Amino acid sequence: MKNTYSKLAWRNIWRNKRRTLITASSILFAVLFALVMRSYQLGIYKSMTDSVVKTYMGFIQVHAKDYWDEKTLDYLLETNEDFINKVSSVNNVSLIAPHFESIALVSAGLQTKVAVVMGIDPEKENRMSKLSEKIIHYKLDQDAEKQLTVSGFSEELIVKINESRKKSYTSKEDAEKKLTNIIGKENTKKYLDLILKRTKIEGDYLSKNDAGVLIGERLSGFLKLSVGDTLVLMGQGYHGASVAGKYPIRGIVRIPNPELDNLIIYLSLNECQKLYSAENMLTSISLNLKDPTEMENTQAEIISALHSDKYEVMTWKEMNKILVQQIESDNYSGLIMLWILYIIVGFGVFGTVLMMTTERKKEFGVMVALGLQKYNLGFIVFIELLILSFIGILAGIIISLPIIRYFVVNPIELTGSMADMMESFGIEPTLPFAWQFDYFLAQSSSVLIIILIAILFPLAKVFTINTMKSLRG
Amino acid sequence: MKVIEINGIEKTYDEKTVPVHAVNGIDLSFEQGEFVAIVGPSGSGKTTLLNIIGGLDKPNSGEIIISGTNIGALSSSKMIDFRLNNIGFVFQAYNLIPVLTAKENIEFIMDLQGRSKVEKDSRSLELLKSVGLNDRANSRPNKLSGGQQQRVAVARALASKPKFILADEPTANLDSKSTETLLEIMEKLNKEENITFIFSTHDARVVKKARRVITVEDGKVVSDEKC
Ligand SMILES: Nc1ncnc2c1ncn2[C@@H]1O[C@H](COP(=O)(O)OP(=O)(O)OP(=O)(O)O)[C@@H](O)[C@H]1O
Ligand SMILES: [Mg+2]
Repeated sequence: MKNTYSKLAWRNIWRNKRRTLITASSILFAVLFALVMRSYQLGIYKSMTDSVVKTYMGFIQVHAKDYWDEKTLDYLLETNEDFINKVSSVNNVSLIAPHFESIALVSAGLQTKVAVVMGIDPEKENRMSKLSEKIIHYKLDQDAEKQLTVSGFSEELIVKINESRKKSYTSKEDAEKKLTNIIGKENTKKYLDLILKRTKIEGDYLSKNDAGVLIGERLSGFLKLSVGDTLVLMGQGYHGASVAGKYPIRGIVRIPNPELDNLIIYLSLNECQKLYSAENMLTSISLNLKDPTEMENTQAEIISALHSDKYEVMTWKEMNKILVQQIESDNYSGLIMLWILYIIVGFGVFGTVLMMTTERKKEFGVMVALGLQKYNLGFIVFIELLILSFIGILAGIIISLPIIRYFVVNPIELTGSMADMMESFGIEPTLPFAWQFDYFLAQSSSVLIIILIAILFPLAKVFTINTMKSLRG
Repeated sequence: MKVIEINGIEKTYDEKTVPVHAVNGIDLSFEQGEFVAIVGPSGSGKTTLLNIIGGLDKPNSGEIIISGTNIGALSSSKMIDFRLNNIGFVFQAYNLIPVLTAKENIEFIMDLQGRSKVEKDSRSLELLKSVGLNDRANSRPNKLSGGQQQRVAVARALASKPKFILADEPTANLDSKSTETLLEIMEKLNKEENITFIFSTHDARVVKKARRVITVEDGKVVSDEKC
């Protein structure tokens, strides 16, 4: 009996192949669009938060009270074992990176500029933000351009690379990926080794108590500095005295956040504390977490472990309210757009299903006349529509997977005005897609719910069919 | 044995302007094994009468008693079950379920009755044989001629072992050859298995085969003759 119902449902689906195809594909495209768009949105949010969290901020920071509002050296943390032990005793904390952050004037030759000086523990900082991987090892400067042209590399391609503004690379892989985008696969294959040879520059990461610095790529460009050159930092020390120091450049780093890239100078923590005559003092410690989803709980645990109002424990969300707000409002507008799409699809489904039930009204009437209960008739039609929806939803998921995967592996690199705009917001101009699946269920079930609402009315008409009228119709 | 008894039924369609008295006071009774034709001009109330007997339509007044059950008192869902187990229908436009094969169409009724697979299988084949279509068991309706479809419809109507079969103009869509075949089958079933048939028709050749002819005009029985 149930067997017969599913047989009827299944065969009816394939009865009007064109309509089934249209209905299923409208569901398919809704799911496909929703999933691809969501993975794009979530990918952007992830890269935005990553660029904040992983660049230097950490998920959670501990400062001295009032430091966050004042940002002066009057509010410093004193490092002692007890303090560090208390923080690291919290289970979810995986890494503690100490920071000494301040403003300084940097000058080299005739140029002077404001910079952010960041004293770091090189080893810990590297674990936190992979800073060493951001060191530039290949750079297409004018010298390299000349050498390349002499070696037979066409000027046209050099122009292309210049226009793309991607003229420096942190590694061979980085160069290969970027060049493939700019000059094509063929050319990259042909010229990669040559380009790498001609553009190679010096660059080392900081050692533990290094007396040298790392400098952001844009800042180095502004100051016309390269590795081995020396710069002078001038600032105001812990007790208000003027301080200054002279440092050789160990390496040039590319920081994803362009604004910061134009400001940052990394120094070993030791040297930094010496410069500001603030031994044993820190502006903050940044924490990495084993499980970032537990951030708020961990924050509470740290607060109770420290148990003192000398400290302020903040999450990255609290420190970046504007960014968080931007993400939230963008997220909402994305969801609203999806629901508008869903409703359009819902109306489409409503139309086809209503047409289908109207067309088959006589047949339904006959079945009831023969002795089929109306609720069983409704059940058969419901099963039929459910199977149809699942076909559409499943196909949408299956087709979206390789598309999303493609963009995860090959993130879209923006160029032109869009890229400028994103950079001005401090965001790296690439569109990485998220490869995570928690939203699949949410989107698929939203589509299913819309379908269920859409078929409610036609289905109700089947359940309450007027046998006589349907037979005559 | 009396299978159907109808007393004083009236049916008025409340058209907004003029009410139409489709059935206007009819008393009739039918015995087991009768072969009845209902005739009359177009609009005289034949279809309405058959629909009321079949429990598809409700009269405004009067009662219909089928094998002792007053069907006017049944709820709509009970009526559906009652139809399933007691009444066979043959429609003018065949109305087989298009996605089911001839055999499956017949089995569908027995499915609804909850019959076993073995029983369904043997009875559906037996019925197909009796309407001369055992070789078309696995054909879908759109692969059958009108006459063949109507023969399957008769077999389907018999599947539930009903007390009687109602057929509203069963031959109206058929050519004369198919009409003849169908009638032969109906007559044979009537004679050999004592199955009661009540059908309406406009076709004089069909009327000739009937053993009782009821003539209706303006919703009233004007003659009722056994031949
Ligand atoms: N659902 C309805 N609503 C309104 N009037 C109806 C309805 N059904 C039937 N009628 C009217 O009732 C009368 C009887 O109709 P019925 O269909 O029973 O006639 P019939 O004898 O079967 O005619 P035909 O030979 O053309 O099939 C007609 O006047 C018809 O217009
Ligand atoms: Mg009629």
